[in-house]
Amino acid sequence: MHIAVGVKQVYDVDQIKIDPRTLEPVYDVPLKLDDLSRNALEEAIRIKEITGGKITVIILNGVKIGEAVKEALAMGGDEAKIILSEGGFLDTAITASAIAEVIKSLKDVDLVIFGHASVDTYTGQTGPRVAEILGVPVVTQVRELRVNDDVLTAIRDLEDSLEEVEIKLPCVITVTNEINEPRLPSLSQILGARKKPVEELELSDLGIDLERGIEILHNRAPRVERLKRIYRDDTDIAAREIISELKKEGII
Amino acid sequence: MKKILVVAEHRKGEIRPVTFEMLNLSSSIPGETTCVILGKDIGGMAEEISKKADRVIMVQHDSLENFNSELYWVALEEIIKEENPDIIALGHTAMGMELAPFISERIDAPLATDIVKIEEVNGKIHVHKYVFSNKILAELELRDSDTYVITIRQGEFKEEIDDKNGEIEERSFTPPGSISKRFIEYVEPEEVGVDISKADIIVSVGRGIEDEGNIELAEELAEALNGVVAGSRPVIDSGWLPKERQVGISGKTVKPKLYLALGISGAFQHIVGMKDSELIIAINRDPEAPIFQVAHYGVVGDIFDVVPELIERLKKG
Repeated sequence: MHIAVGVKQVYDVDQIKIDPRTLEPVYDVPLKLDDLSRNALEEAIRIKEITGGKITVIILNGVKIGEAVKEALAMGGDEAKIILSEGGFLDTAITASAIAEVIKSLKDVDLVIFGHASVDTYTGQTGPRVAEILGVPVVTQVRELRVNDDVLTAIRDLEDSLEEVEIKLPCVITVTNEINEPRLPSLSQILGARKKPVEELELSDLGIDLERGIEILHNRAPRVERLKRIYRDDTDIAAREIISELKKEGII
Repeated sequence: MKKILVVAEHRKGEIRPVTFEMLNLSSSIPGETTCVILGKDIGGMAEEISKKADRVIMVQHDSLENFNSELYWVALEEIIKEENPDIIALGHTAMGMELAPFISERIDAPLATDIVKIEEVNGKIHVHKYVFSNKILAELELRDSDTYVITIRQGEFKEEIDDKNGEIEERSFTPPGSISKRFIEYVEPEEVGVDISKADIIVSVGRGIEDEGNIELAEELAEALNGVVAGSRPVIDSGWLPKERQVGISGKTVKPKLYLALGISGAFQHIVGMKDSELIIAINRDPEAPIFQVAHYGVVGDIFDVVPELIERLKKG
């Protein structure tokens, strides 16, 4: 089976700080392979261990790409296609078109796996869009997957329950973090990754309309309206006042 | 006046609350709402929806009983073409998010997902959504288009509109000959033990609790407050608390008198499940943790300092 995995490189959002003056984020933090991209890749590796075949990693990014691709190949990707852009924000519609073009050019892809959303922009659009462009069905938010020849059985997350669905290959799947525990590559896998084929493509060569979708006007930390009181450093005062508030509210 | 087409969401014979929130959109964007409901035996639900919609379009067929993005799209396509709406609204839910990107591609319309606010500014549609794990609120402008597609975050469009009592129209549906996707069944998570949705006082723990052994500290505090212990998804996924103690979109929605969040950063999936609590107190080391946006009292500090202090004071009375 030929599996394509779409992965994303993101800022480490846990480390992002806010400029208190402008309320804008400070992007001076490391880039990393998105967590759900790891889950997507891990699932592809597990399927390949059963069915055999090949895993192609596809990534679209601006500047400073590299570590995320190396990591994806070290985990178990067989080859990588990097789509280079000039950086800056791209609407998901553009990203999805670019990834779909690369998948079409591979010709024999049976299954495409994505994380169901990325931690940075959290749009959750890429997987279903790629499915539509390729003309194949999609199942999103999959937390359990079984492969029986050309039929997949998936358990997907609903808000307060789960559902089981069946889907025929070729198709697109997006996964949640419950689906597996991504592996950490060994040193020999990390070294071995260097020899794997990596092809670089230019976004502008793929023949995609780059003027689509939405534009960001600004990104700012939200104003906090509810907070009556915030305590810093002095746990003693905080504890005392919280207890007295609980008494006042009749909770204790 | 904009034409707003709302795609209703229901499951197991019940309308999902997000449907009514979408019908409230006409209070943000002046417009006429048409609600499409697809399913089987949905007359009663269509009736209920018609109270809050200008029009209801009902499509009934055996094959539409349970959500299937492949079939739902076929049913929706014709309606979208006939109605030619300005805005198509879906929930930012398992259903909405399997359909919205698809619709956006098919009709080449800009899509903004997970929005918490929408407004018209100088003839342009602006939306607000959280990014970077809810730390940042982005304002986005949608490029000019005949139709826009949005998915709304649950719990953010609660401003209720007046009753409308719209007409219900029924349309027919013929499913395509071959489909490659099939609904099999609902899988219910097991329900056992404590029902946190009925508790008055909840002490909830997040990743900041660091280790399974530290859950004991939360239990001690819960006991002193006469409450119960719950947790956010990372804690449940690690197996430190059972699934029925999970608060959030994939767990339970709670509205206790007191919600004490210990080391919970506040991913939106969690916040949706607890933000209507009467009093929210959050303790977290990260001053930018999004949980502080919904808290009434916040303590920037180490839970391992603050919690023992609270327990000690509670014991003293």
